[in-house]
Amino acid sequence: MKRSFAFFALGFLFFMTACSGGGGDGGGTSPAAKRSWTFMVYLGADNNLSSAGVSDLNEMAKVGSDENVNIVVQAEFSSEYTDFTEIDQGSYNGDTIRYLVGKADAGSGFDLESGTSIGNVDMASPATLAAFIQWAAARYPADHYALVIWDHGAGWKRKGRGAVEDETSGNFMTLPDLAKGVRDSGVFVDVIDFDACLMGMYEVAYEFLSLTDYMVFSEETEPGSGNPYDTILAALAANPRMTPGELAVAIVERYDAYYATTERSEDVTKSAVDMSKIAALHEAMVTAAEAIVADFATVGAVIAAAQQNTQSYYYRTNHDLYDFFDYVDTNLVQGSVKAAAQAVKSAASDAVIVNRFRGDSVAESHGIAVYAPARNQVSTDQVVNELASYAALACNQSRGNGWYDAVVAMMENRVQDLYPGGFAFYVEWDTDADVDLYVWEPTALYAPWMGQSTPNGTFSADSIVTGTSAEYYVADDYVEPGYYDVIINYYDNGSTADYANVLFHYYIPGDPAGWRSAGPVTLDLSNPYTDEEITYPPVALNSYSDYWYVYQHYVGEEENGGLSWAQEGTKVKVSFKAKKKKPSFGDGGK
Amino acid sequence: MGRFGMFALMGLVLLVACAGGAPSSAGPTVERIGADPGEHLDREVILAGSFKGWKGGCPGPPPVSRSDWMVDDGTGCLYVHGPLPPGLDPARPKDERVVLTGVLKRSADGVLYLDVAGRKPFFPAPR
Repeated sequence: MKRSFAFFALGFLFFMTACSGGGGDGGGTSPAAKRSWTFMVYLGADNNLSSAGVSDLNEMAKVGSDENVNIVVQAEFSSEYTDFTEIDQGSYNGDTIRYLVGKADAGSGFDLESGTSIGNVDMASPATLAAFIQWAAARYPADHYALVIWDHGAGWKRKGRGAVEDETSGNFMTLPDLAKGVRDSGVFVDVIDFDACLMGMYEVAYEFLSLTDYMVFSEETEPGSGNPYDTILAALAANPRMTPGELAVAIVERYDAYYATTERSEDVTKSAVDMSKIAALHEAMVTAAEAIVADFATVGAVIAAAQQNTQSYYYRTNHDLYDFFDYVDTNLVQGSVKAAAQAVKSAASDAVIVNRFRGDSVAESHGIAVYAPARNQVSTDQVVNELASYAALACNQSRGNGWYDAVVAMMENRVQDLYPGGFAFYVEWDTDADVDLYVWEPTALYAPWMGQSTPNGTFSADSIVTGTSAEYYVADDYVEPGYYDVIINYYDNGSTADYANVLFHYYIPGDPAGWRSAGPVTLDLSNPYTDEEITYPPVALNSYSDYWYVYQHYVGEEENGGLSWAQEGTKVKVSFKAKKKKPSFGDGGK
Repeated sequence: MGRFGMFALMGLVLLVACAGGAPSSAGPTVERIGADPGEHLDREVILAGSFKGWKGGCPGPPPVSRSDWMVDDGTGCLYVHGPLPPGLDPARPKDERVVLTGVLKRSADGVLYLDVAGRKPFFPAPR
């Protein structure tokens, strides 16, 4: 009886503080009764995610705080991206508000005005994060604390920054500042969940070493809806005696279940790591870095292949840690790097306690990613800026420079010599005829209709597909040496024209003239080249009405013949690939 | 690529889209796409416009992922799903001029967006 009375009293106190239909922050300054869990959500939605933030708050209110679990939120939304009048929250003025989230009445939304305003503070400040955690823990003490950091996320990167953006303040919190905010709070948080994109990284986890027991995050971007708070909190409410590890697993599993039953299920990842295992993973990473640097001449080719062939994400420089080292392990016969790769795989497997993914493009996800950029994935200014930021991370402050040294080796000791590229070719014409741009890279011929990516550059889509009488090619920042020949082919008449006046433009970095042009040249089918193979010199001499061999650009130390069709003379024969049948365009197109 | 080059390229794109004597098949714009989505849905399009990062005028939340960003071609704003233009900061867009190619799609919530996933179709270019 005594126990029942105590629960009744606690329940009464709770309902005094958490009003139905919204929240409040409990009022007053004295601590509420201690619960099993205080679930903190730091909801930085003063940006284009504002409406998603409101939706998530509504999800939390479907469950609401109870006599065992406090749901405590500090949130800021954007009137620029959310029409608050339309959602009957017209009095919301953009302030930062603290809530103890109560259970909303069925059918009604969460009342944004139900909390306590603390003015319009900078949610991207580590001091603001620390103050929220301190307030939540002091006002709503509990046996365990969970902290959700809700917003945009960008892993460790300085551009795009760690996570949490505040548009009003114009700031975005860096990864070190996120950790600083948690550290400065002085509150040990049992579980930290990043409801944000791209935070599932070794570098992120290490930054929070000793600040939490479990970390939950996503290797890939997150859908706008983010966490399904209703099911996560319902699980916690149903079992408030959950351990921190169990809550971490529950978040991952509810997230996965949500995206299994909605249409937004492509390319979703979520995982949790045991932070007590991150130090061991770090040690394995440092050892691997040392081995890679020491033996790069031998293993560089395998590392480069791993960069091209292992699971990567929205940032192509982010690779799944296990998959990356598994490739290295599999493709090396012996040696210290192979042994180090095996150790990293083992440590990563130990650290990841649960891993879920949906979508073919993330099918090799194992729960934690790592930065492993290839030289041609990062532009020159990014090399300087990104590496400087990367070097400053906690994981790169230990023995040697940690994984940073391996990254530098990958960037500088590249296996294949590449040369500055950045040149561009642009062709346009004045009719609806089907004209194709071809670029003969050092080793093969490419065109937009074959696909947009080449080994050394990128095409626009095919004009027949876009409906625009133009096609372009831009070389990567770093490209293979050799000749880049440009050939323009009049492939077929349009619905209204049997010719095209073609203009060609090209840009070579460093050319003081900027863009240069050639043409116009009229192309048609009056004197077509009919051979299955094109050979030099006939086509290159522009003797036919449907081909225009217009330009050649050389990349390398010196012009030494290379692989160019035009430079190789009459003996060289090259077949154009069989041209696929192009899709017809609608009435409004070609 | 140098700034001047980017500027020039952008000029060329605008020339294609706007100039007299331009191609007979004018490319799509955000306005045209919005007026008749079915014409372009699930098809490749080329768009030129200003990079708006996460701070453009597209209404509502991003259609696919929280990292989706925006482009404004002067006729309207469209969300883009896929890699950022190299070196551009979605949290601090400066109206950098970009040209991109991708497939026009519609999200589960009915929001139109350009899917450039798996491509490198970007020319960041200052005005």
